[in-house]
Amino acid sequence: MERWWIPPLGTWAALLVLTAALAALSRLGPAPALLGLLLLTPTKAWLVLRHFMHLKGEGLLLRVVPAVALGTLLIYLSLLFSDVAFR
Amino acid sequence: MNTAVHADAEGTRLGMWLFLVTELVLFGGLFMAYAYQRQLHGAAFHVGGQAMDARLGLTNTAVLITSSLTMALALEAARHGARGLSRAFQGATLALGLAFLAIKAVEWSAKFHHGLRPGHPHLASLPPGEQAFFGLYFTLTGLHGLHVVAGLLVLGGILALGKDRPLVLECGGLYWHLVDIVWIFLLPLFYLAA
Repeated sequence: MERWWIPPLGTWAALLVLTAALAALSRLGPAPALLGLLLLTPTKAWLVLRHFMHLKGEGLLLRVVPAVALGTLLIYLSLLFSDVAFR
Repeated sequence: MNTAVHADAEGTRLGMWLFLVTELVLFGGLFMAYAYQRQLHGAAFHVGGQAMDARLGLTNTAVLITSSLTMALALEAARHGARGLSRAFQGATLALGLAFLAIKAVEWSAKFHHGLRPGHPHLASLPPGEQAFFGLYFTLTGLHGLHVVAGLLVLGGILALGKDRPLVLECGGLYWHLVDIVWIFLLPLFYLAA
């Protein structure tokens, strides 16, 4: 019998562990909290995109569409910080 | 008469993803507004974050992540022909979504009670940075809450009308998971900001 429920349960457990780690880091101070924000939060989003939203098994076109949108947002964020960080 | 349902699965998913991209841009713009204001008012955002209840934020995170699990399980069950089990998981997803909104209502009520709502004299008396923090908090969590309501209406409609074919469930699930992703970013930006 195929155990189709195991991969989603694994993703769910990983998301809960990462959330607990994020909360623990945020209690250690601003620098660890920022590290958690920049590393753990995108990792959690990536897990949801890859496993729950099935980008892992999609073709090139369906993976390129969200990648272009996220890449564009990252470029905008970079431009924003390149401005306000050096005022 | 042939009553078979014809659907282009690849095209349907592509259309759904194009819609989700517009949602990413919508929230992305507001996240940039948050980043800009936090750069300007770092200390005030730290103070604003101290008024947030991290326990409620973390509880709602667990609720929404678990609802994403039940949504994923509903789709997998439907794909494996277990329709009854799939419908049970869909019902669990709806219940968890409602629980999320109930917790959010408790949280917002406490903020209103303490005068931390737009238009209240107490909020207007706070420094500009704290006003920006709470303005962004209500805008982003409010818009996210509206998306949770929309997701519940879509998933509830699919369940009530018995339209729970795997492709339909997959599209409804994609929307629900996107709502989850937005919340994943809201948690550290507001609830763990202090």
